[in-house]
Amino acid sequence: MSETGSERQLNDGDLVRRTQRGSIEAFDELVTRYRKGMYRLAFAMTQRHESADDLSQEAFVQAFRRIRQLKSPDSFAAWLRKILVNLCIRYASKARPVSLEDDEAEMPTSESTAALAEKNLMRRNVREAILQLEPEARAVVLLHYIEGLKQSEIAEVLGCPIGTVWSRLNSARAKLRERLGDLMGQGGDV
Amino acid sequence: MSKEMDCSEVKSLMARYLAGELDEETRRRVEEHLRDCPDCRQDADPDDELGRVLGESVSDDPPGDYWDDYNDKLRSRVRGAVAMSWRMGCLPGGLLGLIGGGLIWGAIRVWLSFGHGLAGVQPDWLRSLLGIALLVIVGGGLGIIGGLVIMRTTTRGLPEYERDETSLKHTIARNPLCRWTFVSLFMLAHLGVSAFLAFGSMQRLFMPGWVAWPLRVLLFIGLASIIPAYYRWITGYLDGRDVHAEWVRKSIRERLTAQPLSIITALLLLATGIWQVGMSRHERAPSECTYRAEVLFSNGDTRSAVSILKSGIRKYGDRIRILDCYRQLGEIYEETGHPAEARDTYRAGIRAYEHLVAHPKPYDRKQDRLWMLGDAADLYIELGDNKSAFHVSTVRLQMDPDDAENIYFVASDYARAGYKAEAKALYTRMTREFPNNPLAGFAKDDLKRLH
Repeated sequence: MSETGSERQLNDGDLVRRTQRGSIEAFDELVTRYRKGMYRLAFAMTQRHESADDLSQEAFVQAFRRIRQLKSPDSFAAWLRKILVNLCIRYASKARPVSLEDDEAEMPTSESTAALAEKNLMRRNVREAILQLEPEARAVVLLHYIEGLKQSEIAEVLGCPIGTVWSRLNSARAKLRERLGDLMGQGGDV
Repeated sequence: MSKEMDCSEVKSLMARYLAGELDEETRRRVEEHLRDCPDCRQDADPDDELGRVLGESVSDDPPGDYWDDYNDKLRSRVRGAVAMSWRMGCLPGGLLGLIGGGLIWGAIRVWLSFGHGLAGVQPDWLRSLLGIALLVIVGGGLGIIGGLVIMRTTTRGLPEYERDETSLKHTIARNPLCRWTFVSLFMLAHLGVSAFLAFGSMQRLFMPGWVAWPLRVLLFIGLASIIPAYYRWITGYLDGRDVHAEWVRKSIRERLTAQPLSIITALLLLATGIWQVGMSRHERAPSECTYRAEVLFSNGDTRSAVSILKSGIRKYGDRIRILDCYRQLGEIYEETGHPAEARDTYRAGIRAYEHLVAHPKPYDRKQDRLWMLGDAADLYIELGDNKSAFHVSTVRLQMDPDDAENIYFVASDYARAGYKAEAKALYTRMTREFPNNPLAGFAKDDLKRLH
């Protein structure tokens, strides 16, 4: 890695403050720290590599352009996540429904053992079920289960009351359980 | 022990339970229920089976070499986005400048052609300066408002964060040219307002010059001393700092110690303003009497008109505009067939004039003195003392020998007093030197009549 040691030792707040003063290297370090998490969340929301790539980068671009407005530099991670989630919701509301077949073809499936095939089937069902949720409900579920956020934190990210988060989470859970009921039973046995 | 909760009751409390908003007793009862009820527990527990299934399925790693050039790609994308926003900023910025500049230019033209608003301000350089300051405020302010309207219109319908991104504020903040223009316009506007408050709006201070001028300068310095704080406030606003916290929420004591000059200026402004309003009403009182008397007389109420003028003369005898009351009262007497009273009134007017000349006030304005001399000439002419009328008119001419209006009125007083040669000379000078003045036409007609 070519980053200087000084940047790598700094905490997020210091890196943000350096970026606010115009340091590209500091922003580079922030990107390196958060790119994987951002990609993971964007992929979970869109289930497409191209979209996850585009949206995660767009979130960083917007973060860079608006970083002077960030008033508490230590909360960079939450702020960045907020930007990404809102981008994803906007993208998902506009984008045509994703066909998983196209996407699936790109995935490495060379090892076609029976266990792997079964696992792939389960993944597919779960991903389809997730994509069928409304974008806001999808965001609530993923922030809750994948990112491990509390409901109050989700309300903060989405800018809605905690009661809305709770009802969205409950109805999304009910829908997912209905669609994945069998799989979840299997999952318990594995 | 309190009654046990049922599932519907627990469900209704769940959102507040998860947010940690319940009081201790209710929370304990909800938890008691959750211990015994697997259905409700599933609602309350985020780490259930579903989480495990989702965690295994919805994530995926990108192709192996994906991260190698991620930061480089991102960097060029950031650069492109910033350059794009700069280009986008040029359009509204340019429009803003054009509108503001056009308005300023137009307003200057209007001002030069018809600008009588500051006509009484002396000296000339101060009048020009005030005119320009006023136009910068008007033109700049309108330019900014126009730019805002354009930006609001062009960004309507965009999603909220994009609207925020392309908002006028952020465009101005990012684009150095726009930023510089915006900040300097505000600074200039502030300077203009300061100059107007100090030198313009109170151009006739009812005080002797040696008090008035230092006071004006002090007011200007005090008002202008806010500029550094003002600059911090504007740039803070553009950079998205919490200017409210930095600037407004200071305690009164902090403010007093930080800006003593501004506080003194504010108090001075207030005191001067009160003094001005009071004095201006005081000085205007005779004119109000003549105005009211004129309205009453033209409505046929001669008695009230005469009584108002008499009481005006009694109360405001020492004020520079009082001769107007004498003149009007005399005219009313003449028109109603009381020539003796009219002559007495004119004579009393002359005495008042002599008193005013002997006791000049340090704050008397040149314009008012000219009018006083004009009224005195009228009074002498009515009394048939043409020589004194000529003398007074000459004094008036010497007071402001190069003003077209003054020349014209002195010429007509000369003519009425029978000094035709002098009147002709002045009328001729008027038509030759001020051919574009509206009074030049009248001067030509008067000249013909004299021939």
